Amino acid sequence: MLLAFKEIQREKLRYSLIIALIALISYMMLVLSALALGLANQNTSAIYGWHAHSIALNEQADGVMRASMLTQDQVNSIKEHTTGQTAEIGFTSTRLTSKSDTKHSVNFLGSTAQSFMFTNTTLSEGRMPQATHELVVDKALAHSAQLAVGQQVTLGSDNTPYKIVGIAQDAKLSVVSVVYGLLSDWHNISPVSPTIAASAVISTSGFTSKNGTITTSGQTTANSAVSTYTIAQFIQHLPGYSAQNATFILIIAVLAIVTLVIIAVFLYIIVLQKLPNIAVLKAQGIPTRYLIRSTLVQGTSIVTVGLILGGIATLAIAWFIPESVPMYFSLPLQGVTALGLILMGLLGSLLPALQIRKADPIALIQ
Amino acid sequence: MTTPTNPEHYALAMRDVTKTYGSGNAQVMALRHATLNIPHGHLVLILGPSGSGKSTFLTIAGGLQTPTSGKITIDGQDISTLSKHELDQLRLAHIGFVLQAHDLVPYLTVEEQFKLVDSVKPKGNLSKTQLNALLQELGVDQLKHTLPSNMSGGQQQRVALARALYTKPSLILADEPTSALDSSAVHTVGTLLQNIAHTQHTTIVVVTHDTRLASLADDVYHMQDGVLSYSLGQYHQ
Repeated sequence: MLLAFKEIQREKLRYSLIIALIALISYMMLVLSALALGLANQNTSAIYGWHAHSIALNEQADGVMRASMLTQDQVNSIKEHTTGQTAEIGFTSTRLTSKSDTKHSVNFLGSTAQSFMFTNTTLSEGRMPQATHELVVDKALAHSAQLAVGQQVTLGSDNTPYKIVGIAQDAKLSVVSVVYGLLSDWHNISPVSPTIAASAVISTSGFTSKNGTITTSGQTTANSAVSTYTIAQFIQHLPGYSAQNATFILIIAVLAIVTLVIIAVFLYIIVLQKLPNIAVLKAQGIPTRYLIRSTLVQGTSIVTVGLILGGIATLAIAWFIPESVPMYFSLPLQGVTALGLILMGLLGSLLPALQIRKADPIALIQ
Repeated sequence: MTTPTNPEHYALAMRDVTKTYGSGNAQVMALRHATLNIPHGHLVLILGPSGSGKSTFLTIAGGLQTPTSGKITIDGQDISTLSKHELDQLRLAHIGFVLQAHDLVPYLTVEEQFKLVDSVKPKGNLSKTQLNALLQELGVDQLKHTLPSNMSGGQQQRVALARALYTKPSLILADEPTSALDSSAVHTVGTLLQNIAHTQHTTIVVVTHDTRLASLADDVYHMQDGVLSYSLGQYHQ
């Protein structure tokens, strides 16, 4: 691809500017995709840690766990509608106060000591709660609040001390650190009526339900119905999760389209300037497909070099970025973003390629 | 000596070639029943004023456009039956074009202009030694690593000629190669073309309005209003 690379080499300023522009866009796309993934991870890392397949919530909660309350009858019915292991979850948002009197918002998730949710949760140290007033805290919270196994904290307005017995590897739900404890403790700190047995029931398999609804045995009113969701559906119902992801996807898509337009316009103008030379080359018998390939190579080369520079800038920024910024790098996702960008470069080169096809040597000679 | 009539004996032969543009009242006949036979190793001039049909002749002879009627053969091959791709191949292998401007790719050095040809036609070109000898003969051997923008018009034209000869074509079609040159340079270029035609057995057809080259040509044709007529005599008296 002598033509493609020699032109870039000899027209350094022109191509450097466009590469710089692509590098900037690549950087923005890579950072935004890392942020999108980081935020998504902060919404869902605890959920994925359970390795559950499905979840059942009160129908009135509309898929939101914090709004769901299940009676014991409902819990029993739910368990009858699945063949997998089940775990009851008591959910409440509360405040954790450390020994140094600093306060942190947390999502308390209570379950039974032998539940698969506890068994599946990955710990970086310690163990899961086995007795009342024992807690496992998210590693990020432990780091920021300087909590350690063996320390005591309080939850909400209750002054009862809770002992930290473990640190969970990565446990966040709706961008808030999760604290695991027993279901009985949930009853103590949650302002729910004693008739409420849990917020949700998760299962390692699906629920047998009709249109996602279980009619419970103790159902006396329509409000007693239970809705079932796969974990993927449940995640989509997390407050703000879908809107946040859609916003990021939209921004990244717009940036990809901007790349396409930049490459198309830039190469189109360059090709217009080169048309007399292209016409002569065609007259001399240089195949049109060779000239088109040369332009496509230029388009993809510009994007690839810009992408590499953007990637380096992203890594450099990631090195210095504070921990509080939720950036999460995933090679497959960043790879898809990079491939998408290269594809845009290739597509952007098609318009100028069309112009090359039309270049007429006869017009030049006459 | 008997002149051969079989087109296979000629580098370029045209039989009753006509080219018409437009239709109805707007119809223009750019080439009218042109017939000629150009032998191998001849320097041939097609002289004529602007708008006489010279460029149409050149583009049809070079397979860039098809005639409305008539037959054209290059080295005995009827080019009217060739596909676009085959015409590209024909131009690349058998025809060298030397045009008024834009012959050289502006961002390639002289050496790279030949590498470009190698990248699409790797075989059958001049060897490195032959190319060096040609560049030396043309007086541009010192410019191998020079970009066209750093060369004079005359130097560019000679490199363009070398570029056209690089594929060892049997036919070179040149469009006004001397239009921007003074008389002395015209004589130099003309002698060079004549020498190439005679020593390398390459047929060179020059389309021009510049009569200064006529005395060096083996054959001279006049083109007026699309009509081609043989007129060597008046320039070789």
